[in-house]
Amino acid sequence: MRLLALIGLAWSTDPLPEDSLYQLDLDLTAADGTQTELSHFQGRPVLISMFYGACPQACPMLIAEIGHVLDEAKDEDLRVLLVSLAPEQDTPALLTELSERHGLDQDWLLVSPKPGQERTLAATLGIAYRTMPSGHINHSSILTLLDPQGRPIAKVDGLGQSHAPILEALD
Amino acid sequence: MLLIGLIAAASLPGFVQIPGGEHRPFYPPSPEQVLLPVQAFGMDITPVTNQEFLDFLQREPSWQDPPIILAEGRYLQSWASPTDLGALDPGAPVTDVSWHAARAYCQDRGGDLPTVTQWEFAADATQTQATGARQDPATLSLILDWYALQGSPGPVRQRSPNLHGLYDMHGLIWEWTLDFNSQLISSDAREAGDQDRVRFCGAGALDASDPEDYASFMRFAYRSSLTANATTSNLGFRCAYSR
Repeated sequence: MRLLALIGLAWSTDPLPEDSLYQLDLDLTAADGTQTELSHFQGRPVLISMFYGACPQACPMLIAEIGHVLDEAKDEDLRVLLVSLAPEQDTPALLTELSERHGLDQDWLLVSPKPGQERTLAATLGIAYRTMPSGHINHSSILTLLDPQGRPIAKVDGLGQSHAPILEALD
Repeated sequence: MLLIGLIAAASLPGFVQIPGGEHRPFYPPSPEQVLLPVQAFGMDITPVTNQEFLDFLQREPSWQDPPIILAEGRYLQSWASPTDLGALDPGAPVTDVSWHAARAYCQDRGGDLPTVTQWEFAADATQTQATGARQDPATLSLILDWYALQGSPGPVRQRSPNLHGLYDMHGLIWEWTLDFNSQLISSDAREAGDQDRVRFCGAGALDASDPEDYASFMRFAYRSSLTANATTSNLGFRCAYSR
């Protein structure tokens, strides 16, 4: 116990690595309305991607795909952080509804950034997106694995691709 | 109030107001959107120079050595140090700056990076017309000559401005845009599998409004190759201002 406490302390005082995504200072709102940061799951490996709640097709597929990765990885520490590309529409109520509809448990965190910050995260993760006249958002579905300190260590570009890079990086 | 306004105006680099209009995008967002409305906006008349960026770094020391996630290791690599231009021309455009650093500079001035649509709209002006640079042989020739150049860019304002009063929109450097990562996803790419099409130059050009417009294609392809922390020796920026 004492050792664990010391490790916990080390996490909180060590400066973040230069290439940690957690260097980005974003204001995120979770489904329960609480404020949080990208580093919410710091100390554990995290799968991170972006979505929008009204997405008819690609986002449910993305959620299903991440579920498969979780099943294959069998890593109890692994967490999922999904950040909205449409923060003005994806209110806490909508995020809650989405979590319930997909049966997402505590290992998943759906958040909306402060409007405007979605572009910062997307640009950093290499996610391309454009809002269509219909209001739908065309976006690439890049799934990035962060190490416990937030460093991107593997990514899968697009749905239906091999998860091997992520699974190997987790080993 | 007037005095404050005058001081603010004097301390800003020159920018001009670009009248609104309609822009014919190289990659229409959808078949129904061949013309995009553009609201009036302000834009720096030149790219941000080395001297201007040095002044910013002295005011905002946190951008002298940002973490790699915000600017890769080559950030300002041609400078003697983040507080010393060394042998660089202070009047040349700053390059080797990341998207994050460029945005921080523009936000510090009360603006932001121009959107792709704003930039392309402003850049389509010739010396005498608000549109037409993309079909103008002289502009295309300038751009093609520039592709062949090597070495660091020379000083800004060495050529005539376009109709809006903007210098160096073509032929000096590439420039960051706010939504550089919005490119090459056409309306036909709604199916996830179709997005792969945009990774191929030929397939991408098929959806372009004018496949002959080689210079525009190069700009869009270049932007889509970037990541937010990338820096290169011929990529700089200028700021835009919305009311």
